[in-house]
Amino acid sequence: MKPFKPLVAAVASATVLAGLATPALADVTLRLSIWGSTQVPMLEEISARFTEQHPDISISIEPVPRSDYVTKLETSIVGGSGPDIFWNALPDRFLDLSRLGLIENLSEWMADDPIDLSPIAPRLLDAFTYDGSLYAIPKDFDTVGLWYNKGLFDAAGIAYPDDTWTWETLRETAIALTDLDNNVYGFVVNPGTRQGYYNFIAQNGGKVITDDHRSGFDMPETIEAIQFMHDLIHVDGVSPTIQQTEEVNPQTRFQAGQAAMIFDGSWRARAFDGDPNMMENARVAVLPKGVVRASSSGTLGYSINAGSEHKEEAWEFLKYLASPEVALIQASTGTVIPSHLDQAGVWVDAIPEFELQAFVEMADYAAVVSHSFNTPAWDQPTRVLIKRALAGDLAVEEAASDIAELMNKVLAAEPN
Amino acid sequence: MTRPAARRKERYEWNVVFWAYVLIAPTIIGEGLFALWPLVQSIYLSFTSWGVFGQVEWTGGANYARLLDDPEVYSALRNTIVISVASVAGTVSIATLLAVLLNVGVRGTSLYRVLLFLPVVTMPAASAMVWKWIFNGDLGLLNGALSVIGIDGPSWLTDRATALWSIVIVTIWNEIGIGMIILLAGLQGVPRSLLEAARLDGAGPIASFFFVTLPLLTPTLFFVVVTSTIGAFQMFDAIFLMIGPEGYALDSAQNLIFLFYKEGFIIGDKGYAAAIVLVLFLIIAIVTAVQFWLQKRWVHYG
Repeated sequence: MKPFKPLVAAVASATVLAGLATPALADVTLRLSIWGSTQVPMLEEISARFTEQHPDISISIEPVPRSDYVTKLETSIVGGSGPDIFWNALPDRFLDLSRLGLIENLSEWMADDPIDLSPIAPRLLDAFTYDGSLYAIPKDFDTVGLWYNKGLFDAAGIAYPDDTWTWETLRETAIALTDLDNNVYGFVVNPGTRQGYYNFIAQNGGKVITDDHRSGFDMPETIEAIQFMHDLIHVDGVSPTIQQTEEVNPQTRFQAGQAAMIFDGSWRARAFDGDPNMMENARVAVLPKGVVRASSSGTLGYSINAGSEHKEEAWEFLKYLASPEVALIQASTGTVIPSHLDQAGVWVDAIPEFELQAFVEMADYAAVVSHSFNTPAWDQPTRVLIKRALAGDLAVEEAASDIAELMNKVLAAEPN
Repeated sequence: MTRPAARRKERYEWNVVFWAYVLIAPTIIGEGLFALWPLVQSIYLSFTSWGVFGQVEWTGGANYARLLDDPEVYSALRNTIVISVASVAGTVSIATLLAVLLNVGVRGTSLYRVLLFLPVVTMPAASAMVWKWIFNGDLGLLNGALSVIGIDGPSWLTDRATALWSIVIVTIWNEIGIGMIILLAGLQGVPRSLLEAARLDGAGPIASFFFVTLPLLTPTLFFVVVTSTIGAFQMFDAIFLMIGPEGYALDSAQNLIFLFYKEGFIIGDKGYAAAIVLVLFLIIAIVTAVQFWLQKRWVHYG
């Protein structure tokens, strides 16, 4: 991916310039809260350009480790020291923030000052709509695809994965590619949600949360999907165990050439970019089809803190963040697939080696991650119980019925 | 005791008393603000249901009723006791042994002292990362060493049978240094004249250790036992950093303080979390009180 280095230089100089200009010009500093450090250079570029157009507003980017993000957001909003504008993810209490009026109702702002949202994928706008109003502007989205190691396929003389693949093809190919003498696994079962069971469950026609707001873990389709994952490890022996995967994660094993296939997100492209082995061998196909096609999709939006003292300025910045210009910066750096679907191709071309178009193709049937008002209350125990089922120390049906019970308790207590 | 104290008090000028209070004020205010006030708040919160965004609702004893009915609380309580008993026993016995060896005056005592004390001043996050690799099932140092003697070791931290004991090992490693330094100071306070007298009476090194040194060391031992027990009850970082909130082996190793963190800060049920931590507070208070009561039977103040 070539355009990145000059961009870093440009960003660095822009930041320095912006930094020098700040004391003289900026009257308001907006605090933007995000997690992780991957997108910081890109956001610095975006902020610098915005400040060029609005010399009286500067942006202070405040990155927080992902694991602390939700807690910090919750406590800072309650304590009145929250950021002016921040990244909002659906499972991170988006619904509660909207319901309690802790974030601005953007539909009301748009009534006076419209934004053209037509380039943004409707399913992303729907995801950030609560009670008929929009509460976050979708920034980007991701899908999960089948990353495969071309070199390992070539060595075994097996055809690359394509859109004709089913669960059965995945299983058989993984068996053929598994070569434990050389420490190569055909596939790695990821015990997590996004790269793991959310995909298998949806592909098998199961649900995490049903339409009538109950747990889907007592559906036979859901249980069957978990059982399929379990069997890949314990019957077919094509995947490392859950214990091994906790010690060496799937992407590390894939990067080391010890896994022929993994399920992983479009966000992994930036992480693999530049690794010579990955540039040469890592490719992406759509996920194999189960009963139906599905891929777990996440999305991130920008929300304005209702307690902010600079809402007008935050709104100006938000309008800029929703613009095609920002979508293009996000896409051309290869960082994320922008919410503006018409520019998804730019993202694919940013790192052409990986053949990333599969991620964009899957947007047609991608399902937004399961969430409810109180996601963290059922999500953490569910993850641990799934791991126990996949490790084989708890029967799949038993784990599923425990999950259903605990989820239903949480879901029943939620406002609805 | 009372008369000299009373007499001394008379001698104090009011401004001496005033300045004494001024000087301890930072500690008192800090302690009040950051320890006592949160304790009062926790007690209040334990009787409420506290929504994530601060909607507090009085629910009486509901959190405590739920707690008594929650199997996770009992397994966390069991793990807390195992970690505390095993790590305090391990820490105190190994630290005593090391302190005695260092007190004999081997060559390079100060070097050993530094090496053994290093874990105490090492960042918990850094040492946890190193231990994670030592415990790794396929690539770890520990299993590498075990394979030399023909043992195929487990994945220590991700195996539900060994995760708890791995935590105990790291806790002991972490605590030995501080215990050793304190015990060493205690040992150096044992009067040489007593040891010489014992030798003249014909006591060998073993006998003089058990009948002279050890009794005189008991006040120091008592201090080390009390503080390391409290520390072990509150052990958090090793579990958080080496197993993690979503770890497969988590529920086989989590203690009460971790359960408190999980309920309060991951799941977001702060009222319930407050009830859990108050139970832990009560346990620590009771255990410490019992230790102070028992000390009459084994601690000798020379």
